[in-house]
Amino acid sequence: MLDYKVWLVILLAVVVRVWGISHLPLGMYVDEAALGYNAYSLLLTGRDEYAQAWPIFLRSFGTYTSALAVYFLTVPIAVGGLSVAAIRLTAVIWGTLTVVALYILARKLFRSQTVAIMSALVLALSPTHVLFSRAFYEPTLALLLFVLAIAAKLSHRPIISALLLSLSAYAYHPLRLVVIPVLFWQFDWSATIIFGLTQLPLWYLSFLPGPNVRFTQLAWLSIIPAKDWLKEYLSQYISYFNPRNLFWLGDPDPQRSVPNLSMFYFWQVIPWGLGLAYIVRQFKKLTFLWLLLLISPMAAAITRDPFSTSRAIILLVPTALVIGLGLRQMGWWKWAGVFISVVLLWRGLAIYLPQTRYKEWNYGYRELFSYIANQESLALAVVDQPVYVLYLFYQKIDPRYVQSLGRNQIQNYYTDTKWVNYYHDLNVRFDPLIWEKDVYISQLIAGNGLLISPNQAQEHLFTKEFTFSYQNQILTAAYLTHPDQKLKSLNSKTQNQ
Amino acid sequence: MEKKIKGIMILLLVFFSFSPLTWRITTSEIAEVNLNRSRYAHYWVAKILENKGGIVATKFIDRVFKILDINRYLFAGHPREGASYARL
Repeated sequence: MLDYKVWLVILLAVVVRVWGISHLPLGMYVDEAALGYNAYSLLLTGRDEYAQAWPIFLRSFGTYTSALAVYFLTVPIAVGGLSVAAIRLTAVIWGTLTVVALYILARKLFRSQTVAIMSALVLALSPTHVLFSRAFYEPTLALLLFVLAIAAKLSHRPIISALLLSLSAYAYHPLRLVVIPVLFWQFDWSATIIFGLTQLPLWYLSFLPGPNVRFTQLAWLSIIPAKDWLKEYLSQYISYFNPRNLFWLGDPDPQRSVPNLSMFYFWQVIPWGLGLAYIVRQFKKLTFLWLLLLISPMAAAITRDPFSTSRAIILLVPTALVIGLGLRQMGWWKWAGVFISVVLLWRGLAIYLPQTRYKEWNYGYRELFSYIANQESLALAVVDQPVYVLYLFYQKIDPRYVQSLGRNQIQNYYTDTKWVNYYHDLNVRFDPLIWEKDVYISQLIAGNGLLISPNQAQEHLFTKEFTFSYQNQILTAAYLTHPDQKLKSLNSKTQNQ
Repeated sequence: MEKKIKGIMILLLVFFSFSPLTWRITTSEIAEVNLNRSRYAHYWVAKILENKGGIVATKFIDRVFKILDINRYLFAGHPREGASYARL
């Protein structure tokens, strides 16, 4: 039976994750939409948008994301339909379960109720984990599976642990490397064989051009001379233990961080320091925690981004445990810290996130696409990102139609790496704007608010048919072309000359 | 007593480590506070959470973390040489 304090932590974890889930963050990131739509496609047809049956990596827009999270997502979509709330609530459930799993893990590791509750509380309020539990990203599932695997390992269930470790490696690419040292901890032959066998398809596919190209794009290996690799790796690796990154600056990626907040709160640097001092003193007893701490950024340090919280998502676990250990040594004022954390989290999520990051989360495209879908004239959507997937998601386009287009784009699912904006239907096509041609076609030209300036609209005789504004800025707009009038004006200009 | 002395020493270290940097509040920082205040629906909430005291506290914390930045000592700031997008 769980202590009431644990229930309070779980309640807090649920509240900060569920509150305003449908509109915070405003809009939807393309990664979320791609995972959501492909889950919808798999649910209805058993194939993804390129008509690939039950893929292990999702080609999507050339990202070759792990597909495991998508299979889990088919259940909530079957129940609640394809909606923002349905996919984000899945992330909420995974995030909350991770908090509970961390509590169980900490109890097994330290045999202390206080440290377990404190560690769970730290994770429950971690800005990074809260954001990852509010928006649908595959690392959230990987983290849950990883924590469960460690808990199983500490409960002396090596086979279950090996299976969960293998699943977590399927759930998110960087874990393919990170799980191996954990598997070898307290070596067990049968568990290792099971792990090895279940990993074979994953490793085989990892070396095919598609997933490999993705790795090459993200890693710094190709841009740094080999003689500097060690220095580069160490600088990247150490940056994940840098208190300035962990507690202050945060992830530079605007879709992976809550504004003005880092992975943890600034005041938590104190319990982190106390916890580190404790685990140094108890090195022999806590070698497993050291192992977790040291392996966490192992894979993330190979990639170019200086502090990628998603690729080093595992770091949340040992750091929360270390902070939990430190909090035990702090007096009543740790509760003042918790209060400050709640206020800062509220400010980050409710005030700054919707008001400063709305463009990064593609706010306004839902409205633009529903406008386009209801028009008779064809629309040319000019977008610099794979925003077509938002159109598929919001309009719930029939996957069979999308597959009929998608399968013609590629020769081989895992080796054909070139991606183009392939989608078009009777309402919309996604292409770049070619002024010499598109001005003379009767159509809607749609895109972000900066696509067409007022001078250009005047010069080419466009009429503004749709705008979506937020914070006194036009986020998305659609203009109707008038080729007849444009030709007439050109003719009259030529005659005058 | 020993803890208090350590605390005071850390404060002095932080203060003098950044003596070339100003502790004064600049006009652009005040403008930023005003902009941030405009984001709130209730003025008194904005006043509590966005104020001049917050600027000084932020500067202080920022400088403490700069002292703790291991990458600055070992790799001249690399890989975080650019500004973070995470802060407004």
